[in-house]
Amino acid sequence: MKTTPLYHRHLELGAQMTEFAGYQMPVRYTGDKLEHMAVRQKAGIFDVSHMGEVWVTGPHAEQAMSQLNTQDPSRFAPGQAYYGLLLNSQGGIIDDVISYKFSPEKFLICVNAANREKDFNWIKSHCDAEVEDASDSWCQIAIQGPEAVGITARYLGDQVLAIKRFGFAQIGDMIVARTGYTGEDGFEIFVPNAQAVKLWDALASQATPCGLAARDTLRLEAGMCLYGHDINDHTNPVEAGLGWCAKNWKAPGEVHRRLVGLVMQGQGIARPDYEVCNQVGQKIGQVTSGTKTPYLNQAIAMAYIDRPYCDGASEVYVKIRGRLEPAKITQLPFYRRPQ
Amino acid sequence: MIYFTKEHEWAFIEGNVAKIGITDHAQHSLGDVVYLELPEPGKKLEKDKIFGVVESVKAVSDLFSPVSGSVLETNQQLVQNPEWVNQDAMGKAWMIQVEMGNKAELGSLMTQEQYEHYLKQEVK
Repeated sequence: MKTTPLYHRHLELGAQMTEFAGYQMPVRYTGDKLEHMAVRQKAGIFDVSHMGEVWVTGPHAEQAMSQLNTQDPSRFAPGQAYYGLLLNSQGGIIDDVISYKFSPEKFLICVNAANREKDFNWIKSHCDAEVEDASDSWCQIAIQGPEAVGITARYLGDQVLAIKRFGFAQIGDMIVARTGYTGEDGFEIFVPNAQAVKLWDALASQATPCGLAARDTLRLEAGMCLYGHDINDHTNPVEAGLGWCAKNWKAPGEVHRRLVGLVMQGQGIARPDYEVCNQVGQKIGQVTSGTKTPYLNQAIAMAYIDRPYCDGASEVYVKIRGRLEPAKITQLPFYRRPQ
Repeated sequence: MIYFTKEHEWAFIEGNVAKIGITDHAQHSLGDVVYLELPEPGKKLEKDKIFGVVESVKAVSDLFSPVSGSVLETNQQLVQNPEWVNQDAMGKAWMIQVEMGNKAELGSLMTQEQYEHYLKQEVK
């Protein structure tokens, strides 16, 4: 089992550890609710070093990126990051990734931990740019929440204040990106392994350490997909509601289902793989993510539902231990941060 | 006298009545508890069979009855305040009280000392 360079910090902080994508990662330090609320109200810090980093470089890099990714890289200036999808020949989502454009000759793709090998092999075999998996040399630390930008600026300097949403800058050996997976403002910082503990210590003294459990509830409130749950090799961009970043992809036929948000109306909590039913109990879909989230204090879920039921006017139910519990279809995200 | 199951329930025995909950170890591994489903009074329970569900933010976990018998009382205050499971798993977060049908079943449960030993084995 692999560990990140911050492993001993997690143990010192009393984290409960879990296996995720081949790594020992912190699932929580103090408690899921406390960590979740710290990010919504102040600031939280996450070790996300399990994420993979793949460089695509060389004279053909931009052309390669346009073939690999659903987004057109020429639309972005150097110093901009963008969300996009890698699609297989059927339109299934190989991964959802953030790409960082340093120049037309140099891109960094941040890939999901569990997909690292799959992505790297696919990228390498689908372009003629130079492709390098640099995951083992980088840590990634995310600091998120209304106080995150201020905390980061106090440590790294005011230059981070100039980084706009979805922008990034190189500061020393670090890559500091104004991105995140929580619905809050903040940064995701790529830091070389040898400097990771120093950065963690500086930021963790002012932000609450948060584990993977809080990361999951935060992203769910923010309506963001989790690869392997809400999207996978067999879901296409349109049914996943990600058509906005895959404008050139056309569904081969009619799209029969959509990923929607559900708010449970009773006491029960919808969980992944639970069936969604119509009022006579016929299966019309399936839950992909769901929990009772701390900030909204509601049981919310994401689910694929057959198109005729997606209009929000139909009554839908989630089957929980044999009972049909009413749910309301709602637009994503569930939570939008106050501007 | 208090007894424990391998599934991390506890049963506190007074006379013929067992008060049942989950252990501190169990609440710690579940994380923040947000929801409970418990049986109504009168419901017949069988030893080692599911009597309810406890859900944390992260996980859904079945509750297994340490004893057979009939539910006398359900802790409705706990259902309204599931966070008590994290605050006081062995005290105010008792879940149900059961009139035992067969006290001899207690012999197959663990004593406190045995349970503590079992926990040490389990984490290895």
